[in-house]
Amino acid sequence: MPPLSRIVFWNVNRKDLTGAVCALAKSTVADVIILNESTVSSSAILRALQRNVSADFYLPAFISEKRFHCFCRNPTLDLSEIDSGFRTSTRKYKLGNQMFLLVLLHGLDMRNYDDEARRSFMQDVIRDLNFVREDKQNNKLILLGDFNMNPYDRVMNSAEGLNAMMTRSCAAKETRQHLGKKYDFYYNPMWSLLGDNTKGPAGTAYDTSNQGPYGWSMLDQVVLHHSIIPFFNKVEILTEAGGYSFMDKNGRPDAKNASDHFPIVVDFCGGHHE
Amino acid sequence: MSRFWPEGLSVNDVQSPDEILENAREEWETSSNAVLTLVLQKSESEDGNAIVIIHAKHAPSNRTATLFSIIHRLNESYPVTIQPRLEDNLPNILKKSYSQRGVGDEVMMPIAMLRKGKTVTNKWVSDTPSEFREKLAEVFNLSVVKATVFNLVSGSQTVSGDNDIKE
Repeated sequence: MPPLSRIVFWNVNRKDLTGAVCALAKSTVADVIILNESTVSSSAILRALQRNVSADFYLPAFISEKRFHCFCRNPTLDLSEIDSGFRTSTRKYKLGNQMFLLVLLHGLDMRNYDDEARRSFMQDVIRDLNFVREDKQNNKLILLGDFNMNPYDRVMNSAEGLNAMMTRSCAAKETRQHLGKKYDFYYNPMWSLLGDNTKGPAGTAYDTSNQGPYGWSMLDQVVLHHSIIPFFNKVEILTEAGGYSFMDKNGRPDAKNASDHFPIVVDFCGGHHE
Repeated sequence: MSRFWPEGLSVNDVQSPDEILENAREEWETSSNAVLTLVLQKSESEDGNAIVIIHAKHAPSNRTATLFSIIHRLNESYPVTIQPRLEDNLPNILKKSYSQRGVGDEVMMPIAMLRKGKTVTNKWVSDTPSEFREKLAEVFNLSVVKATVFNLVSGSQTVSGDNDIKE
């Protein structure tokens, strides 16, 4: 059964990968394409998408497009930006009769910031999320982006952090209490894609310098509020699309010809997915 | 002429940063005919300081944008510092001013840093209410803040209201 909605997210590493982006949009038949660190103007990419993939592509309304370029071909999803945070962008995401909030985020990079700075930054993101939840009176958040963190980093799963659990069943309890305060659970499906015993690559980025002690990292992630789990179908890491390979001969992201990150594709369904 | 009274201090002016921000919010609502307001999000940092994050809100569309934040100790209103929104992703041609490295800076800088430490001045720190008012006016007039507010208002023409956002 085709998904109700499909989103592709890709950190294009400040490169002009317009051809590959079009191939990606065509082969995945994604409704939404989100690019991070794109230096090509969104109008140029939009023209290419309209010409090569579908004339239905448009730019949803935005407050600032400094960090994220967002393209959509399904107006019923809305995707207009309703909050522009320091490093986050929150967009309406209407799936069927449900209104979710899609929060795009870009964490501090590992090369220029140490663990402490990146952890502190994530606390800022959490403050952004608290504001969005309260101001929009909606806690159905889908977090998507280049977190520059791994799913196992402490701030990703501590109660006062993102509280993002490894499995659906962990998050099914909905909340947990810490020091007298209740925290909503999130589900991080990227755990399922870690390592070499999985289908596809072991992560979305590869680095064996002292900033990348694990070799592979799962920097690009989707994290879902527990209430969205029934609408989540799957997430995959993409290594090629429409004749474009994003992978080098060692099976790692081809930073020379594509990006130092692999794209990820996320599918949502109409609810109660088993 | 006073010689011993601290400069810039007035016993009649004891407004806290929160009260000054409330004044700013009222002024925004009056000046924009209630189209724009400020939302003051109060929080606490990991190291125990008070943080207020200042968001601009376009009331008709309920769209918001983070402008800057202020930080002070939990039980002491002053000193207080402002943390402006960074223009980090803007190309230099779109910035009103930016610093440019001189030729040979890369070679000279590490040597200079080995020789002596340097004093870093934080221009956004205020010790008194009057100083904070001045710097608050300054931060509201930064290019990045004005552009964010403009985009918030101008982009809202095509966006529907907030009735469909709430759960």
